[in-house]
Amino acid sequence: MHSNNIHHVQNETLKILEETQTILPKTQELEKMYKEILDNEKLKLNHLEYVIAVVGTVKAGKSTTINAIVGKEVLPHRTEAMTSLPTLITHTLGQVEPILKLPKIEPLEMLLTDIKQKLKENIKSNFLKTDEGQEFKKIITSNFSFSASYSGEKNIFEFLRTLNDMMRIAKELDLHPPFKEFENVDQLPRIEVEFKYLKGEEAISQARLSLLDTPGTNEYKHSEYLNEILTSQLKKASSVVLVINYPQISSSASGDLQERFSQTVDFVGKEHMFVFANQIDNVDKKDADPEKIKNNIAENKLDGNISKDHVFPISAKKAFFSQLGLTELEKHGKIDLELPWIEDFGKTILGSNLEDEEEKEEYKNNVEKVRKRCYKAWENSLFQTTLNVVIANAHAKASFQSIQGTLNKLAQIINELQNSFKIQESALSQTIEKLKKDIDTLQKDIEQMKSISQKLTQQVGEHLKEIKAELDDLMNSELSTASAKIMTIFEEQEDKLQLENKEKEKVVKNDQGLLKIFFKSIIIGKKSFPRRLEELKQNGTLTFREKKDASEFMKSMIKIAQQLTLKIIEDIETKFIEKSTDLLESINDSINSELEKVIEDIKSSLGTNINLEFPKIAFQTNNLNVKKNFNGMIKTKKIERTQYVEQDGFWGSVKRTIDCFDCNWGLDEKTIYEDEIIIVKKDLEEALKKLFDTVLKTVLENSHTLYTNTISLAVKTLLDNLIVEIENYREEKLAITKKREADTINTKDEIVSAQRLQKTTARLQKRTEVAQTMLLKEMSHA
Amino acid sequence: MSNNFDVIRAFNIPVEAETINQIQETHRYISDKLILDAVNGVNVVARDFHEVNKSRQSFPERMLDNIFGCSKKRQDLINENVIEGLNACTQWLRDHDKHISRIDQKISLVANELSRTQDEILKFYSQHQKLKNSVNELSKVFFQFEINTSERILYLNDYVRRIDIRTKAMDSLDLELSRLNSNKYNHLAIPLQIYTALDNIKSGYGGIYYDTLTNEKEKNEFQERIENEFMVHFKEKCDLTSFINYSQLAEEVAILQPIQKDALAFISTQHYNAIVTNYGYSEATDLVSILTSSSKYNVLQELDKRSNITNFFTYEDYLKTTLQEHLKV
Ligand SMILES: Nc1nc2c(ncn2[C@@H]2O[C@H](COP(=O)(O)OP(=O)(O)OP(=O)(O)O)[C@@H](O)[C@H]2O)c(=O)[nH]1
Ligand SMILES: [Mg+2]
Repeated sequence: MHSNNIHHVQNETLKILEETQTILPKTQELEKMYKEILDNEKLKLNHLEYVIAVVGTVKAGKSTTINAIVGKEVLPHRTEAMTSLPTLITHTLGQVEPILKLPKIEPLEMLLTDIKQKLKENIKSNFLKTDEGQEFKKIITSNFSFSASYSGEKNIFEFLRTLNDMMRIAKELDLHPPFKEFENVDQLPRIEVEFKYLKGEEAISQARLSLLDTPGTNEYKHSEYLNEILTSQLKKASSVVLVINYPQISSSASGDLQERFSQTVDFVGKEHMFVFANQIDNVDKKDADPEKIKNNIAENKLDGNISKDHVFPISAKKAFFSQLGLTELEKHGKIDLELPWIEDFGKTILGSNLEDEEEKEEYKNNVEKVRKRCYKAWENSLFQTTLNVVIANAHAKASFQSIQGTLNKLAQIINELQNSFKIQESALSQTIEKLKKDIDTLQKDIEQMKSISQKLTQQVGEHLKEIKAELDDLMNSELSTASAKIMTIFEEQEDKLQLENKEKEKVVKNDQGLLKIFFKSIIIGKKSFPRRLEELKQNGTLTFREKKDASEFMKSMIKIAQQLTLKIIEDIETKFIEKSTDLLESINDSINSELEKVIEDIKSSLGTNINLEFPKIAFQTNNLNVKKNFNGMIKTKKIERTQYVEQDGFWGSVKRTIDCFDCNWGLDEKTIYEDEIIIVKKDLEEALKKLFDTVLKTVLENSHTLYTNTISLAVKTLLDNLIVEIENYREEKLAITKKREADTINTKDEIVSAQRLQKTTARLQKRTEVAQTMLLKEMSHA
Repeated sequence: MSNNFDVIRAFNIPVEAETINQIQETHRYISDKLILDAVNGVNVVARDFHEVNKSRQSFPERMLDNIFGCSKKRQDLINENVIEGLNACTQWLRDHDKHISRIDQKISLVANELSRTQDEILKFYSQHQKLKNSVNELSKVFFQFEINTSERILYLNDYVRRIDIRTKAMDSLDLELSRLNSNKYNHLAIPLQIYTALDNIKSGYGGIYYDTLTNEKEKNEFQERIENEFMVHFKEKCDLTSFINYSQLAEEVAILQPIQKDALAFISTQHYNAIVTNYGYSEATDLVSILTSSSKYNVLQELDKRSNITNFFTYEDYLKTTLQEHLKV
């Protein structure tokens, strides 16, 4: 019922738009302008575009999930780390054979050239030692080049695999992949294909749904760039699906999932965030109850931060292979047992080893059995209801936003039209002398508005300088306090360690408190404790026995740094909002004292009842935008800091020995692998300093953009629009004056017509208001 | 002496007196409207197709079989009986003192237009096999018709000045309210009750009174008075702030007696055409027209396509809009 109501609002919006199109002014320029805007809105309304981003850990099954929705093997989804560049997969009705479009080739070609160059230098590489590496080398050293598009599953698959390998080897060769070049959605590789799942869904199949496949989030290296792409993509997503490897997550600490979840949830809000607990086919029967899994994720792992209705246990692999099988059956009436994926298919869907000739024979002649198994597996994959919910959710949100955007535009246009008809009527009824006088006065008012606009922009600029200086001070003091705090903790550990150790060398409980972890790491060290402590005091170095402990300790430190950074940013945000509020107040004062008077004058020259929008109202929302922007920034900070720490070599010798990120590609200097793992205090200090520098820089940059792009621009746009609007009205008056002087219009008829059109606009205004109310009502229900 | 049914018969409109009487119990000006439509038809058939394109054909497209028994092509209906029909109409207008309606004015407007465009019309008829011999006579009839209708209007204006038209208008408002109160229109769904009662007011003394007012304030006051009285009445029958449920309305229309449905279809479509030929904005009237002239299965689809009709019509808005559309044509 709910989507039905939305449909009614959408239809009403379209109707209002169409009616508005019939009353556009007859002056060519204005008509053209309005026509373009309205046509564009109509297009957007009828061809809704929306994105569901699929994120998660490496190998959780993101690509498999997407393949299952598409019903084809379009994305590489094998055992080694695969997806390295975000890829869009767009539902395109009627596009049966997938086609991949590559809008930006040059950066890839440049990277390829660099790789080839490096390969000539005989560089050491783990990847190249593998079969795939050899294969890759063979491919790129032969006659390889990129093309703008690839058709068919096979070509696409191969291209993406080569692309992924390229990115992977680039890391080993210390080349920077050109991630920056792909920040914009339109620049990413995009596969257009009809989604099998959406084919029957009348209402939503018309819309353009894109799924965004993303690299797993523990691909740390290069992630600073990757992260930028992801951030800009996630901002545009309607919903986010977090795919996790459930068997793995259920056995690890809750913190991991928490962190991943909180990294993304703010982009779309938790109403549009979903967790796919994947690979349930690998879960023991006793733990595989869907309700149990939902509860475990929602309540235990995520502390109730997500509703359990947004957690979906699935088996993407089963879903994918069953769809693959069904597609094959639809197409050929049977399944060719020589297909490359048949072995996996056999294992996943039939529970059978098709390598075995006997088993093969059994299925060869029993299409019905295969079909039944496919249906059964699809059912067991729990994919159907999952998709129904997720896609409907994203679609609804996108519809809301799109309809709301159009309604706001319509309200504005209809208001302008109404003003214009009012002006027409009055211009037709007044004496020509009065008209001419008004036109002159208007010109002066417009000039005055322009100067006020300039003044306000200047005011914002000055304010920006001021706030920059203040933020700078604030940041410096806050950051040094934070840094000191962290180092104190570090030192406190040493003392506590000493105390505790003096008491007894008792067994350490496996408590998750970071201090305990810290003790544990040291106590279980082989060397006698006093010697170690001495070492620490003197060298500022901590030595660990187990790399796991070092990594736990680091994680704890990072967490503290994270919390402190968060707090700093919160403080800055408060300060910023406080400052911005001051600024907005002073701008509003300016408007009240100066602009308001001009607008009053303008009203009297334009005619009665002109409805000009006051800038004040629009500023209200800017306050919210400020906050929102800071939220996003907090997110970015966390990730950036972590990578930064890693990239800076903060790990020192640890880096080579701790494989805490499961990235085997980083283990290039195997020879240094030792039992002793150390953490250096000085490195920590440096890392913190660099981290906070980055925070400082980003905060300043952000506040700058915020001021120039949001506040300053808003003031300017608002006034500029107002000026243009008034200029248009003036033109209107001028045109009518000319016509009347030349006696080329029937004044009486025109007046009647202007009155009639005013009535129509009044009705359309009312309809727009009702539609807006209905939409909001629907939104609050959703 | 000639009554309105004589005119209808003279135009050879295939409708039974009994049917007319039956419809008249609800729609008091149905026969006037039929005559207006016939007279207007003389004009319309001769005019360029494109010119009338924007108005909706009330029939034959809509084939009001229930009123007219069988569907006959409008062209045939009119062409053969123009002279007789117009003569009868002239007679009727001259005689019917006892019956005053706003439609008379409409008829005189059409007559005026007929004589203005008569060259074109006569040319059209001269090409018509059955009529070309009577073009001369036709020309005379047009002439006479125009004179008579102008006389009629003069008389009407005079009459309106002589009598207390305001009291009569108020009486007609009271009468409709009393009919509503005694559930005379209860066979109709609420929006159709509103449409019908307002139509009866505007087609008679109510509309004439409104037209005689020259002062905007007085016009608005009269309009407001009707609006208020109707609101008081209908707020007992429905929640005025709630939205009209179109699919439920379509169901209610579907079970309406066919004659009632067709009568409303005819009236509202004629009304709709009058609005759009005057470049007006028709919303409520179009809604009634579509509801009553489409099949139950098409109504909702049809309404979805009509951009001039909101999807979210409250009873209150509908009432105001209907009144507006009735009075302002
Ligand atoms: N058992 C089981 N395996 C799965 C399931 N879904 C995916 N896999 C396997 O997990 C591996 C990784 O799958 P992908 O879809 O490539 O995972 P990804 O998240 O896209 O991986 P990256 O792109 O490398 O981050 C593949 O071998 C899949 O076959 C599942 O539901 N059950
Ligand atoms: Mg992948």
